[in-house]
Amino acid sequence: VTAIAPHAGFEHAAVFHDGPADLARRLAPAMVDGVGRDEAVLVCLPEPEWSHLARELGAAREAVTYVPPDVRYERPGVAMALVEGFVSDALDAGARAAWSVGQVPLDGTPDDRRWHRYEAAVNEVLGTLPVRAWCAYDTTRVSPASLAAARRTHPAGNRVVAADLGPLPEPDGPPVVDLRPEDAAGVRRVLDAAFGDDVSRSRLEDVRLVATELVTNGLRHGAPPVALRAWWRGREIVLEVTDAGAGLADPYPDLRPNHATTAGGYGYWLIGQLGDRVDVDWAAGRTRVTVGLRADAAAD
Amino acid sequence: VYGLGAQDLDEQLAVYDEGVTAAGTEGCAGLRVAADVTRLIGDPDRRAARLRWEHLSDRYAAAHPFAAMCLDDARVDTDADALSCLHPLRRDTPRPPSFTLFAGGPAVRLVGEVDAMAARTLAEVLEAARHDGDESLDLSGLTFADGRAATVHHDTVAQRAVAGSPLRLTGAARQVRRVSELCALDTELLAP
Repeated sequence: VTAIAPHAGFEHAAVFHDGPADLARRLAPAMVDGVGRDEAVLVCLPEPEWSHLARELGAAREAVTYVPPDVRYERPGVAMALVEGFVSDALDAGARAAWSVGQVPLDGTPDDRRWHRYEAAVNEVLGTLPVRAWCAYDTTRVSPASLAAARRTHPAGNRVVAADLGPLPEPDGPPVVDLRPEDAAGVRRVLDAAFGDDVSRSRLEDVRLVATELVTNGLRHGAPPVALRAWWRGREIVLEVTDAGAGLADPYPDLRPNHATTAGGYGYWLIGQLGDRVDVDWAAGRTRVTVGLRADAAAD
Repeated sequence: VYGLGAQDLDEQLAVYDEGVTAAGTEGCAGLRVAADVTRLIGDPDRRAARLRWEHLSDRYAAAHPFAAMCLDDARVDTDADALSCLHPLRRDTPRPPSFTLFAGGPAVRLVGEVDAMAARTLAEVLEAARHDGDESLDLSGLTFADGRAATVHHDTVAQRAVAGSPLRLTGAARQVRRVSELCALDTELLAP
């Protein structure tokens, strides 16, 4: 894993607070100063946190770009793409720094792991840019386990690996699909038969695309044998591709900005944009990539 | 019959055209040709001309009472996917390609699925299909494209535009558009 050389202007701070009014008081003064220095500001907070902050910001509120949480936090890949795009555009337009003030949507279930992984990735993906990423954690509402995870992923400089985030959520039972694929076309046929009757056509198209990119990566860049398994986990379809390779150099390939990489083309980017949770790990001599796609995430 | 240097293709087509005309004069409904092309596709120097020829003869067959059958010896490894995918009707193909590219009326039609495994072949046959002047590629029969396939489409369109032989992509299905959008490729290139 390559070490990151963080930008001197990069901050990734957890703001632990005890409610919307407290949060607004903790955030507003520094944000007003930032706006005064013509720094670009992105805010993505739920209500009533946003209303409290907006009042506290006063005139500086006019300089803030607000994105509703359901847009920003649709899934981790979308969240990262949005903030990275905002920062790039702001810097291109001449801003010397950019702020991202947000609150990942934790719900106290094992799925929160995907947002802790996202927080860990922020350090690596945005760390080379002059970004102040301030993340709100309401200590009266967030679970102790998630608060502990937030203390590991903040501030920047803490290196968090997948194992620090705890185990992956368990699937419901034995795999619905268990293959040693030789090409991706055959995988798509099998997935059509396994899931075609139970998800929307457009979500099935996402499952086929993600599986294709996973299997292609395994066959091209991994070491044989490549195996694909698929499960139901509640209303989530879980795809898992393993190979006998030595792991991936980058633990967050799905959360990197939209550049085709020499290793995988757009593969991981597409996986991150379509998968509701992605995990990359290496255990017992096998590289494993797991992607969960919520079956009801897209309507026909 | 098949000298098939690149410059011989038009001449070759003229030979077939004469044959079709002669067949008509003799009261036949048309002309059928069968040829073993194993050696041609396996020869790197003649491969591009061979693929180009498939396109020309396909266009010709779409408009004339002419049908051709190409025979490829499956015992010889010739990387024949490119040849295979230019034939909409296939018999006994050991590993049939996932897509087909053929002349369908005024447009060239791409039918089937293209993923990374087939993307190189697609790029090769699209290059061979290059036609002088405006041309459109009908994607309405393309049921699946991955990131590599989308990249091939866009690179091909971009290269053709620069080379002065523009290619229009039409009829892309939702899934094909979505991949292009997600890759932030220029979806303007995908005409409705």
